Amino acid sequence: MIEKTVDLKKGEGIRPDAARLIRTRPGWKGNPNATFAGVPGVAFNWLEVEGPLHETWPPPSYTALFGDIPFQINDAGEVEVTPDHPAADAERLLFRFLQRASNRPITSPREVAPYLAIYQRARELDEDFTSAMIAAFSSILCSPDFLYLEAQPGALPQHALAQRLAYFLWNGPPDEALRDDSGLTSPLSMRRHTDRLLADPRSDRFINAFLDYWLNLREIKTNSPDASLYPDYYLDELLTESALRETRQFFRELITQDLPARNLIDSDFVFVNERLAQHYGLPAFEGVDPRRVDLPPDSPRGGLLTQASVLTVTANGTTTSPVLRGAWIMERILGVEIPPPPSGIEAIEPDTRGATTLREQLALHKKSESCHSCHAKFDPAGFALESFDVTGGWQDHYRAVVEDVSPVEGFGKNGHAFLFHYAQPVNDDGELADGRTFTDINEFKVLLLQDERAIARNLVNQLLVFATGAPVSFGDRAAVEQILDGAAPTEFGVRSLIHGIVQSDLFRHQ
Amino acid sequence: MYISTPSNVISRRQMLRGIGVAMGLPLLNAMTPVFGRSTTLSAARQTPRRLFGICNNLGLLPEHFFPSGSGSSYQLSPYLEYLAAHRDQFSVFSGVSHPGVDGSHSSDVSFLTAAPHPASGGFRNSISLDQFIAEQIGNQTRFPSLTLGVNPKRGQRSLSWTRSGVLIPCEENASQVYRQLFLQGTDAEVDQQIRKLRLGESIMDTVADQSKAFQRRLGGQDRDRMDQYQTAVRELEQRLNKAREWELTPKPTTTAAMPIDPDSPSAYMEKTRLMYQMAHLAFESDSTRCVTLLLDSTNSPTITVKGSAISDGYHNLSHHGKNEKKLQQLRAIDEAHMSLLNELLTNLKSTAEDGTALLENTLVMYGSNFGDANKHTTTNMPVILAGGRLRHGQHLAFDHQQNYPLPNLFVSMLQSMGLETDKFASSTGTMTGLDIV
Repeated sequence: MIEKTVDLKKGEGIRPDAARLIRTRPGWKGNPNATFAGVPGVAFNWLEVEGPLHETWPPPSYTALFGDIPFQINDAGEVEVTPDHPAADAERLLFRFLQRASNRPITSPREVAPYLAIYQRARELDEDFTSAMIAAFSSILCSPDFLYLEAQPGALPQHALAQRLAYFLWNGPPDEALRDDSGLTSPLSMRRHTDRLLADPRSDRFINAFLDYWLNLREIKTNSPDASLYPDYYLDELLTESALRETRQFFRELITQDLPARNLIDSDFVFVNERLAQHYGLPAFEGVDPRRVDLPPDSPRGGLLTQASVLTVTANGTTTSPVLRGAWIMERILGVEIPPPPSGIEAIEPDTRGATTLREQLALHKKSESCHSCHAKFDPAGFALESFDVTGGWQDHYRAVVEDVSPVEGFGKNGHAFLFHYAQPVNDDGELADGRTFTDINEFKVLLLQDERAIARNLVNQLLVFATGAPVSFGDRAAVEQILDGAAPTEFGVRSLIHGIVQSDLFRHQ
Repeated sequence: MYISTPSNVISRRQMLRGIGVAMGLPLLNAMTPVFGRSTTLSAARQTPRRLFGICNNLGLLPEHFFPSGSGSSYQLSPYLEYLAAHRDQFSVFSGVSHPGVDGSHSSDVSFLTAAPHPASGGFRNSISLDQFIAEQIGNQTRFPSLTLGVNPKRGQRSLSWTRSGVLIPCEENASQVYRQLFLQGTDAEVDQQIRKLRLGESIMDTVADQSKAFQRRLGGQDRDRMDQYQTAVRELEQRLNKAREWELTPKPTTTAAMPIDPDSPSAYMEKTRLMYQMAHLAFESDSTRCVTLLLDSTNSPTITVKGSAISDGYHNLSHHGKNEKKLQQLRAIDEAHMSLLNELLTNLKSTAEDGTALLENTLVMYGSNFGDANKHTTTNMPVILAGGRLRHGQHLAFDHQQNYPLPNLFVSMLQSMGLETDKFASSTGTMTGLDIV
């Protein structure tokens, strides 16, 4: 028996997924795993759903709007609030709501006047108390007081600092403890709140949003694996989900354990579940929850570059491109600025027939000095990752599909026989712009690790942009170096870097 | 057992990026008018000029689309053969693109705006061609414009953008379009709708006041952002106001039946056909002068095409990597598109209006932000323009290396509609070789 607690939003459902089994699809010729005894399957005896799980009644979603005013459910199943003193209650509730929703301190009840006018206007137009209040609440949520964070140039006052910290580490508004801490501006207090916020489950929102934008993980489902080239990944939602969870838990671990930023390039552990362990060629175990697994010394995994999530968002589901992956890695992980491609250049045409590799087409870049000067900065990083396919599986050969070559034996997740064969071998060696060479991904990582400070610097820059909404300019460089110096004793521990950021003037000033 | 996570939830950051969407337009949707009753507008009406802009964001296989030869004696390509009956009513263009519009899949949002670098960090879109037109003549019809989509990625993709760069969400159900065009509310419904619109106007008033106070506190910084916000509020207020005025005017009637929406996104072609029909009905009833339709192929699954077995997602197929099977399937899809376009043009041609055909009064622009989806290139866009008051029947072939600016076509289109303008986005003039009749 499995028991799970899930928060369902409107329109969401629970779908049991027998992820280890193949899925039926149109054109299916019968389960390839069938024997005379039958087909592998899973039986669900029963499913019991208990809910809604309210710890209090009425739930917080009601009390946030209507406090302790009684209500009834009408024939249409709608909530009807039944106040004794509508006009006074409206004013009181709106003031309370505005204080909570507004991003600036609301001290005078007079500030509620414009929204109270909406309530009154709605009542004039024959709306009942509930609808009129919802119209007024909606106006608050449409107003700049709610939508925008307001900060005047200079040192942030306590309330604005509380906001900035909460929107950084919770991606949401501050709680009372933070909002009402009058000693917040002291370094000790900031440190205490930073630890407290990071320990709260709401900090998942920071980790998820930060990784969504920094590593573009929000695009992980944009391209699904190609059905004919990668039938073993096609329809494998568990793989995609697991990849996403790995990166989030990995980053969480760096923060929790204050592990050095160099782990972003290479780590001796990964967070995998059953599916990812299989994907990475690690010893098998059962279970969908990711767990920390130590890597064997010769494993190419470890660090962000070789995580399935990153390798998926840097490919398009059909082909990998050293150019796109390389530029992406250099920009996002190492903070090297890559100029946009010049206009009028014929784009490389992906070809999955197996006769030529992209690498061969890219050799042209070496011949032309004008191409080479730029491509030398990022193509090599892409070459090092060519050993990883469109979802980050290891590949020694590129896959191809053509009519007259017989395909590899096997069945995809869709129950169809494989159509692809192994074509050209992968080369993952290369030469960095400064002349240093590598023969594979592990050597490439070693080269990158020679400058740990650069790795940490990029992370600090990325976090600063996320935290303050402002780009890190040339004039901010000294402050960034100071943050790095402060975290040097922990070898640029990620938590130390976060502490350094929230203590810096870059964070505390607008 | 694992439990899959939802993807339809809009995060705080997503919401803030498209602030106008978060603020105004759902409200607008919620207040979609249930209109009043009487039929004609004014006696001295001029023959209407219209635009239907269509973008398929995975494009068409260029080798089968672009014709050979140029001018009026060009050879129809395999795809253009589908439109052979209308040869004199359309022009086809090659070697055209929007200057500075790169950004791979992001570029569809610039298809009708030509705003450069749509994938860049600080990107803010500019007004789309349909909204530019709606600003000037939108007050003559019940709907200033209609923004439609087939399988659109909600809140993120659309062809229609306001002057302040706010996305106008796509209506994706044909039946809903039909309802808006023709279904009359009861007196009580109309009455309630008017009250809701009034309340909406009051809310916008209040919010506008609040933003002015906010702006004063803010001083000079972030003025641009607040300007976008305030413009969006003002635009929405005008829309609500306008919608309320139309509330008491009766809706037109139609003999066409209410469409039944397919329930699966794989019925992509059927959905496209229905949206073409809705555009046709909207023009025929003169309910609007501007319609856009985003065929969000990128966001579509494995689609159903009559007579062909499609084995993979549309998006995956577009990365064909020269695979013969995929190319065959893509060709079948492209041909289904051309066949539907032919149907649309035929219908517009066979509908009479003011002594001529509806097509003569309607510009139909069909094309893609992608020149070649396999390469993800945004140059050499495929573009067809049919109908309206332009001298058609030709292939205007420009340089494939140094593309001709497509916004010039927009200027020509605007002028052919009688709108006095000599500039749209990055245009450099009117389109060379395309004359107004």
